Amino acid sequence: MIGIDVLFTSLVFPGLLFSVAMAFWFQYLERKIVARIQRRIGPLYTGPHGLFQPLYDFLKMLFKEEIIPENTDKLYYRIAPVLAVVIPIYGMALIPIICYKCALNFEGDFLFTLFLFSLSVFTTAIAGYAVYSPYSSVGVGRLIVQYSIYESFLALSLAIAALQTSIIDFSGLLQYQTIHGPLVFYQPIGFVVAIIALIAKLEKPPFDLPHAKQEIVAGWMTEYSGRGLAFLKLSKDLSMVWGISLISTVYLGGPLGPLFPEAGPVGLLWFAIKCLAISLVIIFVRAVSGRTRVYGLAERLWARVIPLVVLQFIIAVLVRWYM
Amino acid sequence: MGARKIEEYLEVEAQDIPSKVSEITSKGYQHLVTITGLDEGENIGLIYHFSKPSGETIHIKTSVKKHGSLPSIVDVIRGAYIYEMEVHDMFGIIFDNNQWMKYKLLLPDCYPLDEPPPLWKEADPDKIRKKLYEATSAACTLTEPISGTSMFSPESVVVPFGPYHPALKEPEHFRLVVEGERIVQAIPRIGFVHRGIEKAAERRSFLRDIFLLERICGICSMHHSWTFVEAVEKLLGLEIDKRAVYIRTLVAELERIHSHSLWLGLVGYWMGFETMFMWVWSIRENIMDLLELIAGNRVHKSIVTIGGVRRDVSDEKLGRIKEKVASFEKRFTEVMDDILTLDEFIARTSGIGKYNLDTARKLCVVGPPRRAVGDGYDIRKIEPYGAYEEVDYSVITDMGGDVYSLVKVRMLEILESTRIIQQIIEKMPSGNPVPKRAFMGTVPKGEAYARTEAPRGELFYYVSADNKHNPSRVKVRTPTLANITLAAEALKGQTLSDVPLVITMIDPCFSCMDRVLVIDRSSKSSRVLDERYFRRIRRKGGIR
Repeated sequence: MIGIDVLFTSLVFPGLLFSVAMAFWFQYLERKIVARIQRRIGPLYTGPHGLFQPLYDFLKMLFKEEIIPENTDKLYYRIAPVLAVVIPIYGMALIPIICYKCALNFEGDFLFTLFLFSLSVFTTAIAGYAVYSPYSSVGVGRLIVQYSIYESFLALSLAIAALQTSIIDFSGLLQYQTIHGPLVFYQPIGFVVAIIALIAKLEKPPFDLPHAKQEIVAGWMTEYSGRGLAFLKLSKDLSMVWGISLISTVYLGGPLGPLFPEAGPVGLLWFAIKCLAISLVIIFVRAVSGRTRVYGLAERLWARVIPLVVLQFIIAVLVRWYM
Repeated sequence: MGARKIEEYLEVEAQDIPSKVSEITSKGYQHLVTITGLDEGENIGLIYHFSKPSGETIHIKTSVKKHGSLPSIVDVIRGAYIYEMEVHDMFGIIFDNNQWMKYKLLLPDCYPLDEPPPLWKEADPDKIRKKLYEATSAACTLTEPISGTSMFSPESVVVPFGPYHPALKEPEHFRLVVEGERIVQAIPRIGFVHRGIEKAAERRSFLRDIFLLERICGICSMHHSWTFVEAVEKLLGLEIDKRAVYIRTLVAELERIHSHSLWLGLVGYWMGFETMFMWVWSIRENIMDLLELIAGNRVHKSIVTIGGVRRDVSDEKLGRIKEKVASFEKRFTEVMDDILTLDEFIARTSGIGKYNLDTARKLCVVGPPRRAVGDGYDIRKIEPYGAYEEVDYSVITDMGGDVYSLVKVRMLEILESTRIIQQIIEKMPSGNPVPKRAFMGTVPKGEAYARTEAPRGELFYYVSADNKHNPSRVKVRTPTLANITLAAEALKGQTLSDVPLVITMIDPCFSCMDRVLVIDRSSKSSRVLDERYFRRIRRKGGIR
């Protein structure tokens, strides 16, 4: 028996409609801010200050001709974009935004999110390998190398959060943070590391190797066009929304703030402010950095970040001991 | 001084060329500018232009029978191989013991064997073009595999790079011999956009040649016309109005700023640093506006003419230029400080494409790549032309010899150029720079060369006249042709992922190098831009 609130959660808020709207909003934000930093104008004409440009681009791309190259595995070629969109939306539906418990919650949904994170990379790998093209296979190769590097410390830093709180579901995490204050005060290093890993996951500069256009055209999505491309692009923005929401829930206490939970919807405001702050950091880093070389990637990430994670691990164990 | 009439040659027998060249180099003439070929009826004349690093030239002349051969000078001067390949393509002369003789550099591989080489006087462009169209159905650009030959180990693989590659803006082809990820050898192959400009220049009047030669390059177009005009003016013995000289220098320096900042933006783009690209190109736009203000055009300025300039620049405009250049300098300094200290930028560029002074000298490298290893080889300084003698500036050098120091050198050169512009505007003499009538006469018999410091390096022109309305031979040596040998050398030992950055290092302008051929394979409507074509367009109102 599916309750009406479950349907609402998955289809409207914070599921499909809300996350797609947020995806367009973050895309707009990114395009506009990067343009301003680069001394350009950015989106301007569609809607107030060009606000509807991402939506317009998405719709326009839906109606474009779709060209499927020869030697393509049609099943995967069709399924991959759909999966790529579905997984972040499903992940979003698990995150509590205006209350302690969302309708879809269950014991261990925080751990489950980690699993979904890996699965979303898997879908992009499928998308790339479905096509027989050198650019997409080099792109997927780079994607997997990058994934194997960032996933280790993304998982580690989130695991450390679970370790300190001894909790593996979102509602428990929020309750812990209501009592002890946001987790970022105890785990600032873990917070920063998680943001770095998120930038790598979102393939934004300096970690945009999998689709470096000067080297391998558009990487793993080179051969996509029309609908498929529209969905893949949407899925990247959805991942951004999802990742940012996850980090803001785990480290910044999501909707927690003054007047919460008495006046329920005010939680959305706090949540939005926190997400905005994280997204601004990501966008700024993206705008002022160039691409890392393939050879520098492991050195830069593993050699510099893993020691920090270990340090954070020790701190978290000590904090847990004395609290 | 940048241009001079060639009064006397060192005449040498063809067999004695290597010994004569090593004698010359030991006297200090270490820089081989280029090798010019001339069709002299029975024989092919070859002129080797040499220069001292401090700026004196000497010209060795020899002659070979058509289809004949002479010893190569590669053993004495390594960089000569590219010029010998060019002469081989264009005149059919064979240089013994030059290992590259079996490869073509400029001509298509399907060039008809029964036709004379394209720069012989008897070569008929129309006939060759017709034969080439029939041959294009065969693969023209495929080259024989070179792996497994005695030059490389059997494990090596040849990776073709270009002519159509997402990282390249112009069609060029590199054969990269790799062992694993490392490159062992890189062989350049150009000639994909040949328009036959040198041949076409022989058929046009001097005045119209200015506009033709200007179109060799879109970035340093003004330097091409200026260098040609300098040579022609030396042949005519013309004295130029002071104000005209100053205006030429002003435009040339603006062009240098615009060319260097274009390159800087591209470096940012190649390394995936798009914000740098946008910043640099947005401030470059100011300079483009100034060029438009002066000449009415952003790209092909068409400001130089024989005997002066085509347009005067009013004092009110000069004031505006001064103001804008000052504000450009301020903004550029900010951007420069930001970029040169950025850790990521340093990590991505320093140590990439490393080469040393000895290599640069051996390969006869010119321009910023030469100055980036500490050799102050700048034609503006060693053979001052234009107004460069009367302004105060310094030649920028650096010791690094990699992409980072090239960025530094070019950035500082932009600042020096702004200084030059300020001084030129302050010192601008009054006068009448525009000649009353466009030059339409004949040019007395003689030969002259001219060289200028184009943004990419030393640009060399050789012009010979024969009491006619049109030159009997125009030879162009663009700086990229001299530097391409360096790019091929610097690629050795690099990994495949650094290839775009290393090739960009020399600020390549591949289309500039391609200019001697007589055909245009790119469009099916076989059209070398001939006189009738232009007349027809003019009638239609296409060109005014």
